[in-house]
Amino acid sequence: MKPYFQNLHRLTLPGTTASEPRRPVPTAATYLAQLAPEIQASLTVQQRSEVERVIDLAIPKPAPKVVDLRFNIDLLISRYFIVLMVGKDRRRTSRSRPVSRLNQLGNWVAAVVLLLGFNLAISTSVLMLAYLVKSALGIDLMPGHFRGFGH
Amino acid sequence: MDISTILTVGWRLAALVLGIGHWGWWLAALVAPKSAVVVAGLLVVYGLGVGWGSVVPASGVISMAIALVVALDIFPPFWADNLHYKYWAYTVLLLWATSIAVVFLLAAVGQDLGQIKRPYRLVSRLAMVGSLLLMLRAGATLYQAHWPGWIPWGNL
Repeated sequence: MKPYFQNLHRLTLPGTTASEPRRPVPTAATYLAQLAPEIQASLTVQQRSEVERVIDLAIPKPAPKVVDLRFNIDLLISRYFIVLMVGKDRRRTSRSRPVSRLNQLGNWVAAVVLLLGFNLAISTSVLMLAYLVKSALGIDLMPGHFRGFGH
Repeated sequence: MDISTILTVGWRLAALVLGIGHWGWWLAALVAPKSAVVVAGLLVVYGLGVGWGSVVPASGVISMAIALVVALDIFPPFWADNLHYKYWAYTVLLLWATSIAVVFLLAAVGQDLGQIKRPYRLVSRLAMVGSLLLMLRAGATLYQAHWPGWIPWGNL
């Protein structure tokens, strides 16, 4: 409950809204603007463009995604976001952020449970929709049967 | 506030009020237990309070309720026994689609209410929840008053 109330407090602070403003995409100029004004003034045009070029190399470039589905689920006690992305893998090196074996296992278990849950919910809805559409079209797979499963 | 904003807010509120009245009517028609009415009321409060974050859980609840109606063969008392099941299937599909639309509208209006400045936010949320719960009750009252007239109330 505590994180929820902290979040609620943050969102209800004067001047803030429930929907976060979109963060601007950082560019080399954004980082350079953070230099002290006197250092900025001391840079020649050539130095400035060279520093910008190097910063540009360091800024990660997100790969284009075929599927980019993001939504959040607010369960009152906590708010979760779910992201599903599919895209061409352009990574050449292994991830630098080390994850312990136990964490990896936990992630897999949680992901499988979540996927099974979503699969169950979506499959039930799809099957029910198919059944209702079939019935609405007057297709009777069990002749003499006019009402749902129970008759 | 420009005219397009007023129109957008206006049609959303009108559709939401009608949608919630429609829920009330159907809850009464399906002789829903008190717990189902409480769940409908809680969905209204949840959708308005949370905004877009409520869409997935609320849609899940709606789909579960529709699945129960289909699986347990729950029909309104006025529904004629000799009517082909396809008409009931149409009705349930329509009920499902409109209920999901109501969930989206609740989320959209809830999100909008979240943008209102602080002293008025709680008051507007409470006013909206109160009005929508009254609409839920009004829908049930309309059913009990046998409205609309084209429904074959003689089957009751």
